[in-house]
Amino acid sequence: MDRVILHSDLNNFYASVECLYRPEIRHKPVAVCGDPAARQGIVLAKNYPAKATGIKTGEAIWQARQKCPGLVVVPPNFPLYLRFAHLAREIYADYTDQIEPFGLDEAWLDVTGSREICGDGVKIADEIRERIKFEMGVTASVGVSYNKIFAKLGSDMKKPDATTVITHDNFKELVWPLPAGDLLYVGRATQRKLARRGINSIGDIAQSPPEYLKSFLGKWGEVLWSFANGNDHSPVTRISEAALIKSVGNSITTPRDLENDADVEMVFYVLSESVAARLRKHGLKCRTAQIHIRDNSLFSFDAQGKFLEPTHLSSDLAEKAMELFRAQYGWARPIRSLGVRGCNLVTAENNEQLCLFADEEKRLKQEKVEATVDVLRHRFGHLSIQRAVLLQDTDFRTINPQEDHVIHPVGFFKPGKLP
Amino acid sequence: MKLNIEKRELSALTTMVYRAASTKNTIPYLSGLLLQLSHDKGLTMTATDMEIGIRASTTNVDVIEEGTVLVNANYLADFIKLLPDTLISMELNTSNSKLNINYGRSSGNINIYRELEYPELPIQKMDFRFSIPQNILKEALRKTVFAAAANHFRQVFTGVLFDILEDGLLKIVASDTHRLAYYTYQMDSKPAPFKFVIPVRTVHELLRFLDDSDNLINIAISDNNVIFYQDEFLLLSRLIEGQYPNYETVIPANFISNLSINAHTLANSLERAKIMPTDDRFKIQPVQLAMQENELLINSYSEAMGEIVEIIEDISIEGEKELKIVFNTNYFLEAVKVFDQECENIIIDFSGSFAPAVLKNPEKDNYLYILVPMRTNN
Repeated sequence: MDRVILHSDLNNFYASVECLYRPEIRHKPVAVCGDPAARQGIVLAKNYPAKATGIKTGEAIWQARQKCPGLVVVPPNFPLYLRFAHLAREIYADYTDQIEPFGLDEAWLDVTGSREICGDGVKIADEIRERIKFEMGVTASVGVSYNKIFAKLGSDMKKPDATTVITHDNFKELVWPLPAGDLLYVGRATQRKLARRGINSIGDIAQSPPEYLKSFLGKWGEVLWSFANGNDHSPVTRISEAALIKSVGNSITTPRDLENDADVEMVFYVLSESVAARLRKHGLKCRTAQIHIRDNSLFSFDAQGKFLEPTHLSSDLAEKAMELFRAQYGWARPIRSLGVRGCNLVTAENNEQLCLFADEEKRLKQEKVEATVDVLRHRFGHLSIQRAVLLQDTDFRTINPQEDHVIHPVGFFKPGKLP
Repeated sequence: MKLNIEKRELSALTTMVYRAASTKNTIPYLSGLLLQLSHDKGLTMTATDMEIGIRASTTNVDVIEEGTVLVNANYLADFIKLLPDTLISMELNTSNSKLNINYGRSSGNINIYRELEYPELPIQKMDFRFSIPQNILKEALRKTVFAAAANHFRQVFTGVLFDILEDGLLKIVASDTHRLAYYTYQMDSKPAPFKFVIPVRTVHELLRFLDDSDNLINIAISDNNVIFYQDEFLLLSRLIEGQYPNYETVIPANFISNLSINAHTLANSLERAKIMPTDDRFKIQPVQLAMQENELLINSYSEAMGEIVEIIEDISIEGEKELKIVFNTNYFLEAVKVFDQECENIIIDFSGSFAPAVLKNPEKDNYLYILVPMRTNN
């Protein structure tokens, strides 16, 4: 029996969200662009009027302006996009628990088991589109098919706000005429190799002998051939959007240079509290801690160490940071800036192997304490509760690295890895 | 150097020794195997990579001319292993610096190394501590070594602990922090208390030598090394430095539930659970046990493959009848297999869904396996 896989793609995601919040620019060409001062001045997303002028994602702002003199450029607001991605996910979750996000704006859903209750794939797809439009104010295109590859191609076919169904019977008419580059994993280099041999469409790939493709593409040749013929059995993995975050870190250039271990310890505590709170917020734990040290001659280096078991506690992070610092830094110079980062992340409550030599009870208590601190700070502000160690120095006490922070999800410019 | 020896005798010796030689080429003579021939001691072979060293000898050899020669351990061992079962004569040819090996009318000759650089095994300043029957040591190591970590930033977890207590009680312990195997043996002698940790590799080499006889094997240590030795065999190993954590305190003592289950049935069931592929994002394949009244449900799931649900009826439970707990399939199976070899039923003591469980043989109390569960969403 066939699976029923949906691929939902939020149309012009960043630009749509920005237009939603700024009705005054909705009908003008809009591009969400990075900050030119930070040398990230490229187009990240654009709306349909902008698209019509030929602007492409990845172009520099000046190139886009040449094509479209009246272009409205807005800076990205990642926390907002994350929130919208989360809202979309909550809608998906009403139909299935098998949801695999692909970047912030796309997701696969396996609704094979939900048809008895929610109706067939097309009905679910249309309902999801309606709800996204009504509840979130943006639009989505949904592809419905029997595997992930065709579902994704389907969502690309009709835009905006449309459902496309690709079946065993119609995929040859719908999918095969598409250019080879539309297929997942066919990048520019592969496309060139294919074109050199007269293989231009997905149908051309499907009809070439797999051995031939393998001869110049390696084992990927066979994979692409399978994809083009709809032979893709990869499951829709249940992963949270939190799993797309690779590491969580904070660094700070301190108000004055740090002179001794006690100074450093205070700053590490401030940073660790922020990192730990953010890990908890995303339901993550880290297996490795990394510190970054920059002295006042601007010489900098990193050091990292593993935890006995994954943690999202500020005390664990700060202690490990201090341990790394003591082992690595000889106080040749005063320190200008410090960073703490949790890497090697695991989803906090998912299949975690517990440890024999860690004090499980003490850890649970500690987790409760820190969760309480999160609640207090949420209600009464960051400064409502402080570690005693920070009371020694007013310079550091008021730092709140958590507030002003941007989260960069993995697969922001390029899609994440397909399992 | 010149000798005659039966192939079987020679091959037994080389196979025992050659694995101690270094497989890296950085220091050439460490990849060598040293042959020493004397009228009173017979043929002695030694190999070491400075982490581990093995020396074995035999007097079942016809010594014609004494001497010493160093050859590449791997080449020699591979060659000798494949020789026909016949009388072999070896002779050092000083004119072309090769070791001639003659078997019947055929012969080979192997390049030799300069033996003068070969290091002495540092066995002079060793203190004899105690002796233990080979079969006991073999059993103890076999039942514990698999629980040690292949890789851990705390070095002691990559080894097996020998803990000798006040009254001649020997405890052999291995753990990777997620499970712990614990073997106790009451010695006749009462050596002074001390402890040391040996690398897993040493244990595996030792297991290749040990047999099921109750011949004693002696143990002596120095600051950095330990030797296990008999008349014609000696294995030297570096010790792992560092403090082994207090393992006694992590062995749970209070339980809410005791399960008795056929070891073979459980092993078979877990073998099936083990074929579940591990989903990428978890890295560990879990298996869930759910006890309810007098049944045990064993559930394994993977997105890529599907689900297996098994019901084992023939069990008995004392205490809390309903309990769910999730283990790493592999950690669980490895231990159950050990019990499957020695007892019909296995006792598993639980103290909660997130607390360590203890596996043991109902008839013997000299071996425990402590297994820490996993925490999952469901």
